Amino acid sequence: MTFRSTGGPPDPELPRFRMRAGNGPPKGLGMQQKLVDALYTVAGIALFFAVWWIAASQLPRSRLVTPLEAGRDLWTNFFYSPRLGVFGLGKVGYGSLLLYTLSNVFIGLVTGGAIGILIGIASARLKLLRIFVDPVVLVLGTVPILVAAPLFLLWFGVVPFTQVLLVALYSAVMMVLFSQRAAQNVNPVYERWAMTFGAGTGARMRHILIPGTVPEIIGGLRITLASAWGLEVFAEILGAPSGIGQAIKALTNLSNVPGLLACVVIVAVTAIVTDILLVVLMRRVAIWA
Amino acid sequence: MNPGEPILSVRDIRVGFVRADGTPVLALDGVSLDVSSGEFVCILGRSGHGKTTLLNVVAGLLNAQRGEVRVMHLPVTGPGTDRGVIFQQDAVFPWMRVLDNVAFGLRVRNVSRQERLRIAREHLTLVGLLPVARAWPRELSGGMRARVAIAAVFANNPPILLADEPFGALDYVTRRQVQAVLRDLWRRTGKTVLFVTHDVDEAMMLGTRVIVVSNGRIAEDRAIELPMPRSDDDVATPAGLALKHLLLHHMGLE
Amino acid sequence: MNSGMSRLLGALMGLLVLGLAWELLSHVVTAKGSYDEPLVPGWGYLFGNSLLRMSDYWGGGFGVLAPSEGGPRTYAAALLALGEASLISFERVAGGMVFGVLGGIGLGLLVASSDAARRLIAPTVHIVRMTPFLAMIPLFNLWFGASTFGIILFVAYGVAVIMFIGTINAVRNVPKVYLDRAATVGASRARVFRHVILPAIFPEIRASFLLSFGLSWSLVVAGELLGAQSGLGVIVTYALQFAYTGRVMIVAFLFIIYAGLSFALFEAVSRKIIEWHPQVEKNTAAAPVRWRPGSDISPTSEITR
Repeated sequence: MTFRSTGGPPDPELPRFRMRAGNGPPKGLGMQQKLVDALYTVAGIALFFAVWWIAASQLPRSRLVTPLEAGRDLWTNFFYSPRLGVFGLGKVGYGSLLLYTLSNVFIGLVTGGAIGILIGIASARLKLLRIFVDPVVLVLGTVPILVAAPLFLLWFGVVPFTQVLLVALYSAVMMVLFSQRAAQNVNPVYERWAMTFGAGTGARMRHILIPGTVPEIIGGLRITLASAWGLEVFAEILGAPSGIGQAIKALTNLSNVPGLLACVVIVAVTAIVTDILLVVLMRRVAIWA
Repeated sequence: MNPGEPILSVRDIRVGFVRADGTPVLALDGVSLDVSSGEFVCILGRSGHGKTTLLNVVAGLLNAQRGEVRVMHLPVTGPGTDRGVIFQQDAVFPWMRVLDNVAFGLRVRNVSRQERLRIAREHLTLVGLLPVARAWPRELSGGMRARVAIAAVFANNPPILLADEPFGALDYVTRRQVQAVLRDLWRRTGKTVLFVTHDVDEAMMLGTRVIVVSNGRIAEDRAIELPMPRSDDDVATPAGLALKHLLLHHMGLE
Repeated sequence: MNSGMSRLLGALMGLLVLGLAWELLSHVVTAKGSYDEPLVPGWGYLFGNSLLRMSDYWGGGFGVLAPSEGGPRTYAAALLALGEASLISFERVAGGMVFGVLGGIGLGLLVASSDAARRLIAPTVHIVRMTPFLAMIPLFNLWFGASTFGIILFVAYGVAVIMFIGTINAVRNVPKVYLDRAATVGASRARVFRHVILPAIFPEIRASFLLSFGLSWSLVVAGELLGAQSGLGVIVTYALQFAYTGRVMIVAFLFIIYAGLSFALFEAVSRKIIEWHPQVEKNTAAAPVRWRPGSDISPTSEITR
């Protein structure tokens, strides 16, 4: 086995060419390369489903079912699932529950994230704020968020606010960390150059610091979003008026494997889609990056 | 191999690439040359004109689409211990102390510990770095790391040495010091050196022969008939200046 | 004062501030929930009442009587109960870490060695990594049960995903020039692996490892909160049924302390191994020693003309 690496500074004479010891130039040329990439992606996705299918055919139905069955369950239960009505969730289907989850994640991420970004960028520049913020974030940044879940449930009850608060708190802490790092990574030479043109603090913030941190902050948002999904679902399983987490809880009690798989699939798909949306946003907002 | 026969022979090498946007690029277009044992050949050229590509083909790190390279009559199919390389990027392993870096090539060939450390110390002494043998590379300056790379390559005793703009990142004074180190080790050991650079002055100070590569072809191939060891005064003679103007012309500067 | 110490001091100060704020809050919010438990119990209450009543979870042994069998509520029993539960949780963290790290790195190295394999597996890896771990808990419970075995497996799964991705990235990021250099001195594949790849990927793997620490504690907490029969998390589940805020707080503190300590311990220990890394700060006030040009190390001192 040989290890290939793509690291290191690009050679100006060899644009986008991967050198391999002992082999010739790559078979692909431009368009061909893109085709090969696409083929690999398709094959990879097919591989995933193939493995799932084979595993499902070898395991009992109480453990795993085929992707087709999970898909069928998803389809029939999307708008209305009679099963779930038994659990006091009302006349709902996976779709409306997903909407609840999605909106909680969105609200929590946006509010917590905004606060975190502001505090993060500000504390990167204002030493006094930094001294205060750092230790708090360090302590809150480890396990605590999860143990806050049952605590919030005790305090605020089985309402949407409980989950939103959890997600918002987590988002704020994470975005403080990411924003601090992003602000620190903006090369000070840009601001110094701006100062030679007479730019004041506000102008430098607006034209250098904020645009300069956008790519890294969106990167941080992606990571936070991915975890926020899990946090929200978890909080819902603990106790919530609605949400996919509640469906998961109900279906677990019923030992309904197709339904469980369908719920996990729908959460995963939505998480992937929202992630892609963030990437698209990044490309539009920070074309220069 | 008979005396008089070239130690390195490059025949009709052709290398093409495809750029990121899909346009094909011919980096080397039928390049041939012979190098005799003991020469210090400087390969001069502008960035992007093929000199690094040529070096990589000789080193065996890159396969050409046409043509062949022979070292002592044997065809080159990949990298080998007969061709030592000093890289453009810093290749000193940061996780090994200086001494272990220099001894690495010997270790790989299963030389005994006692022997390889002895050889490593000997070569560190030659480049003036024995006092920092136990240091980590991150504690050294760029010039010192360049000297470690030189010591490491010479410690393996390859007949041919390939250098790809190894001193480009160093400041003027350090560069001249390290050039002197390389030149003195070359004179001491009589190896064959292929040295890629874009710096005309560097080529004139170091080489016994200079080859200008322009647009993937050899534009000029001349012996440098200036005395060795060479000083600035030797280069600033009418003969030296004439050569310099010729080289600058071939590089597109005059 | 070096940065390690100042960070520790900062963390302690932060804890102090948070502790004081908590106490203040407990005096402001004096409402009580069901079973007469204050919603925001102050430190006095936590140590006097909640901690003491942790002894309810002690089953007896070591000469300390269990309250469930008529014995008194003692701090000894409480600490034993908490200790026992902590050990169980810790065992799960450790087990999950060990299997997850070994599995993740092992698989990662295997896949990293083949370009085709890496590209083929990429979509699967992306799907697996984007599926929220916490949402998988009920599925794992169904498959393996909510016992220590099931939780260890779950934690191992989460850690393995992180370590796998980290390993693949680390191998891809090995600067090509190191591999080229090894090739030009004739190193065999085994040598390249041992002398170049492994040391080169270590810093990045270490970073993934430290990340896994936090993750594995989180996953154990989550797993125990969702249906375990033993461990610290189950105390929270019991406490939730009676709205015993104080007990939930105590368990929360314990988790914070354990996670923080294990992280700090490992960080300090592994730091020594990567002392060679350019970006690792040495724990001295001075910057890393740089031999200055012009000092004893003259390049031409040993070369005779």
